[in-house]
Amino acid sequence: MNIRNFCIIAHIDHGKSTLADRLLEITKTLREDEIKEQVLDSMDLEREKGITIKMHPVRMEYKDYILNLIDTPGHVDFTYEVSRSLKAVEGAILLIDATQGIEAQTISNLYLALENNLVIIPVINKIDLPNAEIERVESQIRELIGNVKVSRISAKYGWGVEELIERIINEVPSPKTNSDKLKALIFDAIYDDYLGVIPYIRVFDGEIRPKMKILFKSTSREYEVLEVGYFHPNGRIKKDKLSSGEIGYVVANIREIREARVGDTIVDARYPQTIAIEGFREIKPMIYAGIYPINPSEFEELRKAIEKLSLNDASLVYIPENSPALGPGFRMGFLGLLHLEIFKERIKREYDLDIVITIPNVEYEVILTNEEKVFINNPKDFPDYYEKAFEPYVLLKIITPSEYLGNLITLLQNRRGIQRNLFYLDSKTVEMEYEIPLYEVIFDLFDKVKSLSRGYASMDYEFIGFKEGDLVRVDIYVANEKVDALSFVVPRIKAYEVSKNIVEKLRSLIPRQLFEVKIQASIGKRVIASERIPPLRKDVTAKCYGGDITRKRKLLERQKEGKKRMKMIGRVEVPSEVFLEVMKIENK
Amino acid sequence: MKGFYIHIPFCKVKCLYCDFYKIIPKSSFEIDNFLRVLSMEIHENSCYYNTIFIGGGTPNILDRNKLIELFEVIVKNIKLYENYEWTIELNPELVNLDNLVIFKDYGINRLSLGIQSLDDYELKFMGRLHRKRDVFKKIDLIERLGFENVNVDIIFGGYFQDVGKFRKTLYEIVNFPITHISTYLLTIEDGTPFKKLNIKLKDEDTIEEMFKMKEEILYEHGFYRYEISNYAKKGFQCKHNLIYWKRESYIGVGPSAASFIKPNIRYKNVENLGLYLEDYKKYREYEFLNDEQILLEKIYLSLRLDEGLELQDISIVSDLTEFFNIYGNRIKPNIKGIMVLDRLAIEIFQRINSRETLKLSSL
Repeated sequence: MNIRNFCIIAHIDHGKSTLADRLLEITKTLREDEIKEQVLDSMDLEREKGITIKMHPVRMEYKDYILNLIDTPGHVDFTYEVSRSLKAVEGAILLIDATQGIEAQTISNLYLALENNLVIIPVINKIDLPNAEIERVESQIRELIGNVKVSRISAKYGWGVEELIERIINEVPSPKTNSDKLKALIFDAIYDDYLGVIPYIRVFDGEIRPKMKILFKSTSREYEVLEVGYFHPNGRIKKDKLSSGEIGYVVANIREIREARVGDTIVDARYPQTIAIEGFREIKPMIYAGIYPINPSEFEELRKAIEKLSLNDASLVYIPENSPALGPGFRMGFLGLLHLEIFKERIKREYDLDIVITIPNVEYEVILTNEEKVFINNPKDFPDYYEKAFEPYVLLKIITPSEYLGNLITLLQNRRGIQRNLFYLDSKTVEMEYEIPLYEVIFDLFDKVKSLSRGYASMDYEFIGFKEGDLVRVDIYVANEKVDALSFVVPRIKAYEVSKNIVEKLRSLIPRQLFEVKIQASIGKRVIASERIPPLRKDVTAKCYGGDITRKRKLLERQKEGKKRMKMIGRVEVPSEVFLEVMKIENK
Repeated sequence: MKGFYIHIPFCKVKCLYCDFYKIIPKSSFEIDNFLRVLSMEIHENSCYYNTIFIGGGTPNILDRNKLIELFEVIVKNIKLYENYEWTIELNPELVNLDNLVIFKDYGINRLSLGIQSLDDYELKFMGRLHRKRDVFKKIDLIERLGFENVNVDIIFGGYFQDVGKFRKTLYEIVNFPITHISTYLLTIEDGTPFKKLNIKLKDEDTIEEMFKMKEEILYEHGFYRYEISNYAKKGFQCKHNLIYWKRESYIGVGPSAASFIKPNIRYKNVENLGLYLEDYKKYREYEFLNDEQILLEKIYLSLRLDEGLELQDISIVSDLTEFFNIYGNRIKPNIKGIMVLDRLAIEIFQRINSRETLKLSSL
């Protein structure tokens, strides 16, 4: 069997999905009339945000070859998933928009691909556009990966796509086999209401077939295979087996998504000693946030919705918690802010629930005065007195055009970053490596880096451990009521500045009430920042619109509806977005 | 009590703040067409009423013949009880001896004059066609013809308006031979030129100051507030408007006119002359109010009226006392409360609605 496994590395909007559509069409995997725009991204949300979160693999047949395409997500929150899908293929199409040139974010994934020894096929897309700068983009590519052949295509019109397929066949190596004992990599998994968890796998060695007993290396759990098969854009196609080199799925009566972890290795249960594929990592949440229904009576519905969503998302972690200010809710762990954002949107869209999301935070390791060590993922639980406190640090990598270096160095210094490495990738591109508290990264560092580099820099980070810090908990009071959901932990030296910003932001976000509202930030009993929201003085429509009583009633009804989206804190009505919005200012 | 409203949707020009339905007539023919269809609608509502109110638009844009044509239809179809009130709205620049005489002949006993301000700069700013001088002349004419029940409308609170000029205007109008004054805080409505021009109101302090000043001057001269924006001499409260505000039944005819049939049917004619002429019944929009909607209407309307709102359990507003004067179980908003009345209405609605056992005693 002639197999070619490959993926596409591309920046958002560089035409990855359009190219995928053309490939499906030319290989007759789909008829022309079956192709909707962007077939491979199936979640609405992904389409809207222009990003791919979940990968949707597809198998195509062309001449005598089987072509397996795996899609890759393109955001730092999902770097681990990207690295696992790259592990599953032998080649990568590096797709660059002829009008945009190489975007720095693509470089990160390109390096990941090079680390995995993938064959890179550079492709310039959108050559049909009048503002295409083919020569310039070609020289950019050559500067990055040397003197290689660069394909020029228009995915939109299909120009050059058949030739590209020929290149994939000729240049991407066919998969190699080292043994006849089963070894397969899980690079994704989905949950199906009837079949349970379905891991997506790449078979490296041996074969997998129904009735076979298999073992997952990381959990040492055994399963019996019920079904295997491959992917078609219209659904799964059953097969009698998957052999070395193939990409497909396994159904094995797996109940929970956590049992099938991305990056884990599946082996034949008769040979449990088979060595696992390297690179497996437990996915741990990087940030935490409280999630509460606006209406406490919707707690049960929220619980069901979270349970449902986590069936399909192994990285969602949640435990129930209770907030004096917000009522019953959950503390949840996320991979990053985008992950949180996606969660929020899905809860709203798929379950029509209005929720409050508190300021996200990192996890702290604290040695209490009695020497006991605790992990704290809710700022309100951070103790007033402790022996030592540790916060998570990451190694942050930024790749940027050199002209923005100065800006970025200043930014990272302000964020308590420590430079670990700095070197030129080429005459114009610098890679910076910083050790920096995760706390400083999670809020808006990505946006800041982007804006300071006019969008050219890309960043990536990995957790490196906990480091001691002089940390302190700041509490927020609204109209003298402590709002535990707004408590946060900061380095003592930043407490004043951050508190001032938060209190100011709250003043601008909370609408005026019938009464004056005082907002305070305090450490223990000491108030360190304070603002007041003056009472509402005018809210009246003078005229009654003659006999049109309905009109004014409707006006009031609209205001009434608006109030339903507010959370009551004491007698203060706080719009639900406030809790999440407030963090956007926290790190100036 | 039962009221009858007639909407004349024509104006010579459109005032920059106004969002009532009106058009500038393209021809006399268009007005004739309108009167023909309006007559049909009036005829269909033949009945006894307590009040008639002809509003607009600018009702006195109609010339002598058209006025007579309209009034003939009215008197043939609309029967009035004793002690009736029949009002017509007038733009000062179009008031003349001719039409005043006709009003008198047909039995119109209340005039409502849209003067808005007695400052020529402000009048010009708002796009009004009359000037201060016209008002004095027309008021004089009206008095000489023996109209004893006259209202004037004024507008305040726009940033282009001035506290001093407002005081001057007030002192001048209280000495007019009139019985009623409507004082409207300028509202910037969607779709009006003022909205597009981003016209602002005065700051809240100034508005409150203007409100207090107005209240003082008007009370001094015997005009008492009986609705949030309306003041009258004793016995001269507008019966027709009270029908709206006390949720009595009324019928409105003409494009955009609203009707209410107790206890819960509201309908409204289409705000489009063409469609109205084509088939006014077809384009009517009906509404059948549920209990919550009725409650909300009662609360917001009662709070605007001098008699206030009677609560079964006064304790539900115990934290809001700074906004009300309280008489037993009855609450009446004070000036501070009037300034935020929309918010208070919603607040009280929610509190009553959230306790099913509590109902308005007036329900």
